[in-house]
Amino acid sequence: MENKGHPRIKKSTETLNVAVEEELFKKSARFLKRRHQDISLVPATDAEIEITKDNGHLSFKFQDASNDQLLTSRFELTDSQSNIYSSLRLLAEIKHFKQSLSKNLNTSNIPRYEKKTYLKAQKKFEQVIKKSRHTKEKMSPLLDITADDQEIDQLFDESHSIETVLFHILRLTGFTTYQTCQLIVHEKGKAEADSIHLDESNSITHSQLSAKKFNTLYRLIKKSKNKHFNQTQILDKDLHIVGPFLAKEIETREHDLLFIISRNGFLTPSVEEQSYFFSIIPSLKQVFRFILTKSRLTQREQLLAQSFNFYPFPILLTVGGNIIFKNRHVQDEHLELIDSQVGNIDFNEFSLGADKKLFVFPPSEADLISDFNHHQRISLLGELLNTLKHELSNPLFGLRLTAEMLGSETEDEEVQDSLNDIAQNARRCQSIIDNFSNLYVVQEDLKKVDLHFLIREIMTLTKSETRGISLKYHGPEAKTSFIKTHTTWLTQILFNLIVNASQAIKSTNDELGKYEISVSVEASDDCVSIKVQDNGPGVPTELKNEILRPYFTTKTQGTGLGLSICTNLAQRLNGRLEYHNNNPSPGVTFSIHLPKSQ
Amino acid sequence: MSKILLVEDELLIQKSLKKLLEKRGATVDVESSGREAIQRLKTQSYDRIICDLMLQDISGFDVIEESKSKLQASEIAVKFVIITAYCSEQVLDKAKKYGCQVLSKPFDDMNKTLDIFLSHA
Repeated sequence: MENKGHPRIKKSTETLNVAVEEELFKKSARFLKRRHQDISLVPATDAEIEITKDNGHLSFKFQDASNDQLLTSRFELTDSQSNIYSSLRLLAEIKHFKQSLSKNLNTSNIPRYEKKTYLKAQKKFEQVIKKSRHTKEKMSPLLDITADDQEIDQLFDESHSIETVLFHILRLTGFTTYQTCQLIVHEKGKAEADSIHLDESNSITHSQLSAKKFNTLYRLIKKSKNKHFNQTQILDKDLHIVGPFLAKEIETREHDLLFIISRNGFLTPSVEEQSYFFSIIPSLKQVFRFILTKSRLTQREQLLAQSFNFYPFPILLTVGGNIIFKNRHVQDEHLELIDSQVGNIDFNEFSLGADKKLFVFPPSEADLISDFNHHQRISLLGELLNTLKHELSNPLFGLRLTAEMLGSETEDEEVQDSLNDIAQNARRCQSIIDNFSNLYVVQEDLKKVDLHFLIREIMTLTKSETRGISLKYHGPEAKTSFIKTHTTWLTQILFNLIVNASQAIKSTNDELGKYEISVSVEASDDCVSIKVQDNGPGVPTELKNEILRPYFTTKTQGTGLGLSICTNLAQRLNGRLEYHNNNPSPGVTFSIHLPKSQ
Repeated sequence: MSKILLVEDELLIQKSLKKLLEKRGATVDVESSGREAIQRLKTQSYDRIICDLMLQDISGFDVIEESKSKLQASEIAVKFVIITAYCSEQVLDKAKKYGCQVLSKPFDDMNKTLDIFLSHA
C-alpha cells in the first residue's frame, strides 16, 4: 500500500476527480473525528474504501474483510453534493464500527448501543444510496461554492453553546449579508420546542412554541425543495424573520431542528447563497448535534449528581480510575478502602461499561442503629406510658377515693379542704397520665381529634424541655377545632418542632426569659395550618437546603433525623412541612399544613 | 342487708370502698388475693361479689371460673361485678360470656357506682 493510513484510492482512467475524492474523504474524516474525538482516523487495514470514477459516475466501494461484505454506492457526478457527502461520511462511520466490532469480537462483549448504532448507520447508508438513485435532485455541481474548511473547523472549535454557533454562522463568509438567524429545537417526545433567535442587533431571544406548531412548520419546510421561503408561504409570529429567508429541517437521533437564516431585507437569496447554505448544513447538523447531545449529557450528569447528593450514604463514580463524582458523604477513609482493593466487603462495586465504576458504600452500623434506635425509642415510649398508666392508675384512684371518703366523714372544714386538694390533685395526675398514653397509641386509622386539646397536651409534654422559655398558644376563635388525623404522628411532629425550637434557643446561651415559642393554628375550609414560631437564632442561610435532609445535624448529640422524620410524617398525613426564617424579626417559623379530612 | 365480698389488691381502694359500702349499710368482707377469695366463696355465700380483674395472683375471671361449682350461671351473672382499670374489648367480650357487669376504674361518679354495687336482686 503506497499510502498507509489513508484509503487506497484507485485512480480511474480519467484523472479528473482524484482531488475531489480526497477532499471528500478528508471531510468525512473530519466529521468522524468530531464525532469520535477519541479515535484516530486511520482506516482499518482489513477494510478499504475504493473510490472510482467512470462514465460520469462516482462509485464508492467498501470491502469489509471481516465478513466479506461488499458495500457500494454509486452517484452521478451531478448529484446533490450533500448526498455524496453524507454517503461517504456514513461509509466511514460504518467502517469505524466494523473496526470496533471486529476488535471487540474476541471479548464477546460488544455493547448493545454500539451494535445498534452500527446497524442504524448501515441502514441509513442504504437509504442514502437508494435516494440518490431515485431523486433527480440537482442542486449544484460538485464542489460548487462551499464553506471554507477552516471556517467550519472554527465553528466547531469555538462553539460551546447554541448561542455561539448562531453568532459564528452569521460571520461565515457566505452569509456576510445575512443579519438574523433562528434555531428551533424540538427534543423528540417533548410537548414544547425551544426557539433561539439571534437578531440584527446581536441579541438573543429565547422563546417556546408548542410541538404541534413546530411540526406544522417542520412539515412545511421539509416539503420545499429549494428551502427558500418568503413570508407569504410561512407567515408566523413564531418565526422572528422579516422578508425572504432560507430554512432547512435537520433531524438528529434525539432532536428535530429547524434552522432559519435571513438577511432581514427584501432581496431573495441568490443561487450561490442557496448553494452555500446547503453545503454547510451537514456541518451545522454535526455542530448542533454535538452541542445538544453535550447539553443533554450535562443535564443528565447534573441530575445524577443531584440524586447522588441526596443519597444518604457515600457513593462515588470513577472513570479509568479517576474520581469523576463523589457525594458529600465520601471521606478519605472510603477512598483508602477503594485504593486498598481488599475491603470489598465494605462497599459494592458496579461496573458501568468500559472503565466506569460506581462505588456504593452501604449504610454504616451507626447510621442504621440511629434509625433503628429512633423507632425503638418511640415504641418503647408508648409501652412505657401504657405501663405507667396501669401501674399509677390504681394507687391514684385509691388516693382519690380515700381522700373523698375522709372528706365526707369529717366536719372540720380545714381538713375537708385539704382532703379536697388531695382528691383534686389525684384526679389531675390521672388525667395527665391518660392523655400521655393517648398520644402514643398504636393507631392504624385516622381519628377525629380536637386540635386545641392535642396541642395543649403536647405543650404539657414539652414543659420540662422549654423551661424558662415562654411557650404560648394562639388557637383560632372557635372553641374546638376538630381534625381527622393520626394523633401519634401529629404529636411527634409538634413535639419535635417545639423541642427543636427550645434547643436552638438554648444554644445561644443567652438569658432564656426574652425568648418565646408560640404555637398557632389557622384553619380554612379544607386545610389546617399549625405554626411553631420562635424568636431564636433562626436557620443560617447556608444551611437552608440542608436542615430537612436526613442525618444532617448541628447538634453534637443529634441524630439528624428529627426534621426529616417530621417531613416524612407530614407527608404521610397528606400534608407538608415548610419553614422560613422570620423577617425582619429574628427566629424561624415551621408550618405544618394538613387537610381537614382525609 | 347486703352481704358483699370485695376482692381488690390495691389496699387504698379496698379500704375506702369497704368504708363507703358499709356507710350505705352493707356488710363487707374483703380479700386481696384471688385464691383466698375462691376459698372464702366455697364456704360462704354473698349477695354481691365485687372483683378486681388484675389481681396479684390470678385474674378476676379465674375467680368466676372457680366458683362455677358452687354457683349457677344465672347467679354468677347477677352476683359478680368486675372492676378494672384496663377495660379493653376483650375484657368486655369475656364478661359478656358470663353475663356480668364491668365497671371501669377510676369511677367518675362514686354515688352511681355505689348504687350499682348495692342494686342486687
